[in-house]
Amino acid sequence: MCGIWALFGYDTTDVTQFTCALTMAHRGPDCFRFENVSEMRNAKLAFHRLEVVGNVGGMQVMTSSTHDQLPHLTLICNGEIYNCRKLKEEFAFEFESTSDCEVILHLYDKFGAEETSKLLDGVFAYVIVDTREYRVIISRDTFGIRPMFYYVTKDGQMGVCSEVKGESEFIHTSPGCGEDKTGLIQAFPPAHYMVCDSKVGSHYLIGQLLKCCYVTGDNNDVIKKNIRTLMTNAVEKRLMSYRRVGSLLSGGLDSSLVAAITAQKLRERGVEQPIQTFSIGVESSPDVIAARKVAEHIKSEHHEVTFSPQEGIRALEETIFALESYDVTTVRASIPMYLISRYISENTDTIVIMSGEGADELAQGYIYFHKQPSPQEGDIESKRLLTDLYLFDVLRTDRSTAAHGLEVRAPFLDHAFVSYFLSLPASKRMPQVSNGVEKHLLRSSFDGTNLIPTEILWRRKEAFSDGVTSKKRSWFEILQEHIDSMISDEELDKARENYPFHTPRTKEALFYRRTFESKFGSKLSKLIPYQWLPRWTGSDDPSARVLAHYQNDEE
Amino acid sequence: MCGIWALFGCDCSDLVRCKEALKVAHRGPDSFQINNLEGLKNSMVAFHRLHVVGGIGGMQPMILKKYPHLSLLCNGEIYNYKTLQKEFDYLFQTDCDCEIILHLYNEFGGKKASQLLDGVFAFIVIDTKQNCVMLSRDSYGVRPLYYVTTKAGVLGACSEVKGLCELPVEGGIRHFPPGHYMFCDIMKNGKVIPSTPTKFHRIDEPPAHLQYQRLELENGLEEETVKRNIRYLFSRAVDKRLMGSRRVGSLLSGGLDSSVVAALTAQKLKEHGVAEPLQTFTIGMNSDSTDVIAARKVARHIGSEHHEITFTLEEGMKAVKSVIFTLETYDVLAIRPSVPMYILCQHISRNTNNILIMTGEGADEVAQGYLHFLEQPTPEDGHKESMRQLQQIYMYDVLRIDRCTAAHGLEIRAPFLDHAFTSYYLNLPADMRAPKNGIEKYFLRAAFAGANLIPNNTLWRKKEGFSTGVGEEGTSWFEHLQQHLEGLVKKYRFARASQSYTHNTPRTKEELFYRQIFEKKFGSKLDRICTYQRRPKWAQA
Repeated sequence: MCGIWALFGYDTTDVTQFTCALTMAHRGPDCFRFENVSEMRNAKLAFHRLEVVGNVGGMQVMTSSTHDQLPHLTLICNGEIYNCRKLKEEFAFEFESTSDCEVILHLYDKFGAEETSKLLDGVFAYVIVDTREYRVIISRDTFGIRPMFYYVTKDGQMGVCSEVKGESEFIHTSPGCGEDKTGLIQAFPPAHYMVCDSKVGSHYLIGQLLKCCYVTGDNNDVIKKNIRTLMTNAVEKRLMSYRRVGSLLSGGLDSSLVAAITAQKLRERGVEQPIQTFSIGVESSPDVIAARKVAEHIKSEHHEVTFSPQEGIRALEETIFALESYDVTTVRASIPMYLISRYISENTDTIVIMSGEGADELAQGYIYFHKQPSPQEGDIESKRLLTDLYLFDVLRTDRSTAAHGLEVRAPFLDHAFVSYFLSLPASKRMPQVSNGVEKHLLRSSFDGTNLIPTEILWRRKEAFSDGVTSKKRSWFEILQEHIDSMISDEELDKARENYPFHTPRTKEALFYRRTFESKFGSKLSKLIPYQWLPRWTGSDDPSARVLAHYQNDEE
Repeated sequence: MCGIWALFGCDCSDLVRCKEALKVAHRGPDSFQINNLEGLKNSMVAFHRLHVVGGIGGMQPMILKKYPHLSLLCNGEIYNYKTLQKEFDYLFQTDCDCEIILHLYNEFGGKKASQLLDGVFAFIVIDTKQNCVMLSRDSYGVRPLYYVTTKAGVLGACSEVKGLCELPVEGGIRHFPPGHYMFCDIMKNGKVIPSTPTKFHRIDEPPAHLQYQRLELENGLEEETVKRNIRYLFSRAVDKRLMGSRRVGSLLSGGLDSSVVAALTAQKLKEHGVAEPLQTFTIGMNSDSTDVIAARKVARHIGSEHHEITFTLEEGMKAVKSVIFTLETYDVLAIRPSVPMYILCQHISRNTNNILIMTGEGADEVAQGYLHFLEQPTPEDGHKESMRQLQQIYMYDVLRIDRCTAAHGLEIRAPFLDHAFTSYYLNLPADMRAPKNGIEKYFLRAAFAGANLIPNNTLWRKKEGFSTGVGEEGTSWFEHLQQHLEGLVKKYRFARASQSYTHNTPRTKEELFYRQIFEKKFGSKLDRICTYQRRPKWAQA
């Protein structure tokens, strides 16, 4: 993970801009650079680098001008391009640096903006400044694994940034800005690109969200083999790094699979150091025990991090600031993740963190998928979740790790894997009636491979926020109690007046919202278009625990 | 001109650093870059670029693929970079003259690299393999460099004092001495071990880079031979300073020095096939002043497109504050002539596309042009005085012409301070260089006599300092200024000056006035950065 920041159309260079560009320095603790683009008036770029791929030459702001190849192009990119070598060979590009991102400049030069983003297999958010055509190109990967926010004003100013922090402060404090532009900041939609002339006006939005282009036979064994192969590939390409790779390990299916494949692939590559895995929770919580079993099985160097509810509550405010979200599910799940990232950053040399995010959306892992009226509805819901992931889980994993200078990698959100999986019949992807287990197809694909213990492979889901404490009182219940004591009933009654948009309906929601707005102001609350809630249940609480299906299971 | 800035071992926040680094942004209006260095804790460097030589690849900090452990920040022009490139067979990655520094540094080390450069420069090389940082500055300090080191392990360096004076650093900011280099080791924790500058050049000795240049000098000390050599070396000095992709203009005061420079510039530009005429610039309080009229004549003679700018006492007074802030000095002799120059540069920057500005500074020191040289007891004393002035010129005239132009995004070029030229001139017998027949700069004038370069009466015209000559007939600009300031400074304040200012106590109300403005801007910590220009014993102040 790195941090990018760009500003166009402001004719001053002042300390305010630095202040903003520096608000996300945590994303790139190794190096930073701030500069203007000499051939374009009032264009400023900043880059905070976390060194993962490409050594000295990989520093950005990147130009490829040594041999006067592309002197008119400037790039800042937060991302990894997994197929950079393939593309380089395919099109015989001459690289100047060892950085994977350089391929973006060459592709853009050869094929233009749209084709460039289509050809990239990876996770990315980038800005290209083209001083010959006098325009700026912005693009973001399929699932928005790499974050990017932007705004464009009527009078021709544009800002781009990895985190809202870098923009909101600037907009708040920038002098001579008549209208309040805070409300203009939006998340840049994943799987999109935008070409804008410096004169703002032409703003093209092209691109399909998900391309489901893999069609194969419906033989179950073939399907399962394809799933294994694609998943293994997805993990393997994400090992691209010269920094130590570790894995989160909650004890659930998803992270266990990812950790196991990662461990296997690292061993195959001859990496001598064992993989470090990390779980967080209260001692003897079911997840911690399960994670321990997996760690033993895959022979990882396992770290169990525990935290008290008080520690969690103490971290609440900084977590919300790091997240830039007030969504209840997101905040709840982020606190343990934020704490574990801090632990990793302070106590180990692991920088790249593999994670299981995305599997629940793709393979219909949430308990409420049991309640789907029809496979078609389940399919639609699954795709909707994937489309909006950048607002919730993807945002959470990026921000919780980035705050501590780590980089997260989510192989379940590999474009090739996802599009193949989604191309399978909806009825195969829904929870199976026969044994009542969600993510059946994914589990059965790895059945018999001895990758992870069978009991884990078929273990029921526990949402991250629930599973980390003991069965009786979940972490979020303790959190709720604490918040309840801090907010009066009157305050909650007044919430409708104070927050006409997304009115918080619980004290917990109100508390998060209030903390969020104290940092970012009320206008940015639009960045979260809706609260994450399970479908088909009529519940107001996003936790899996309150669902009947889950409760039955516990008895 | 560009602006460089570097800070090592300082624990202050990035924001504080950035703030300081931006204070010299005026020196490089075209591009800037601020970054820290990989693997060096607590380091930050910044570069503000004025595009003169080289394209995008010339952006700094420069890191070559070949030597990824070296970072270069350089404000300067290296005139002999192509010669050296050929001589040592270097493969260049950029089209920028400064790249040569990294190749030389890598092959010969910092000292010899500095010696081999023919040009004006202030540079910083950061070597992350040897874990050291190196500073270096040209023979006369035409390019500015200040630095600060502390026992606590901080090293800061910047083109101007402004970029260092608000850092939370205990330690005095000093001029980096011209013709010196310095190596400092950097420890693992980013702290710098203080060290002291070492001399690599002497201005009265031929520079080491001459061994790689083919000079067509004639031997012997016959007057005609020497004059031919002077003309030859000086034409070269002008010619090499035309390097760059931006338009060259010339200041033209109407005195000998700037006239010769403007004339040779016009001539050389024509030889290079530049179609646009040379633009020349004069400033005065009155269009009838002697200098303005003299400049007009020269302009007509050399066929330049001449611009005359006038200013009033009010405009001058209004500029004094900005001038002091720009100059970072309270020296009277630097401030007085800077006011018109500052106004003139502002005009050039706003109304023309000239970026490179030729000027005659340095001639009075090299060729003994100041009126007090007429009083010298012996030619030997004259020589000593000339040397003394040249060694200190970086604090006075050189500082003035750099800052006045830099404040407006222009770049100054002073051919009279060419090392090859001055070392030849200073090695001529002392009596040859002393004033003759009551005429200062006698030999320099004689060298250009008969060349029809400038009108004969200008060639032999008596000196009028830039500060004196710009005023109306009878009352010079600085007399106006003095009178005006007399009224502004309260008597009781002046009476207390010796208590208020123990270092360099102001001796006149004018001095006190400047000093007050200076300390308001920079605080009293910086008062040691300048010393009043001392008059030689044998001169009548």
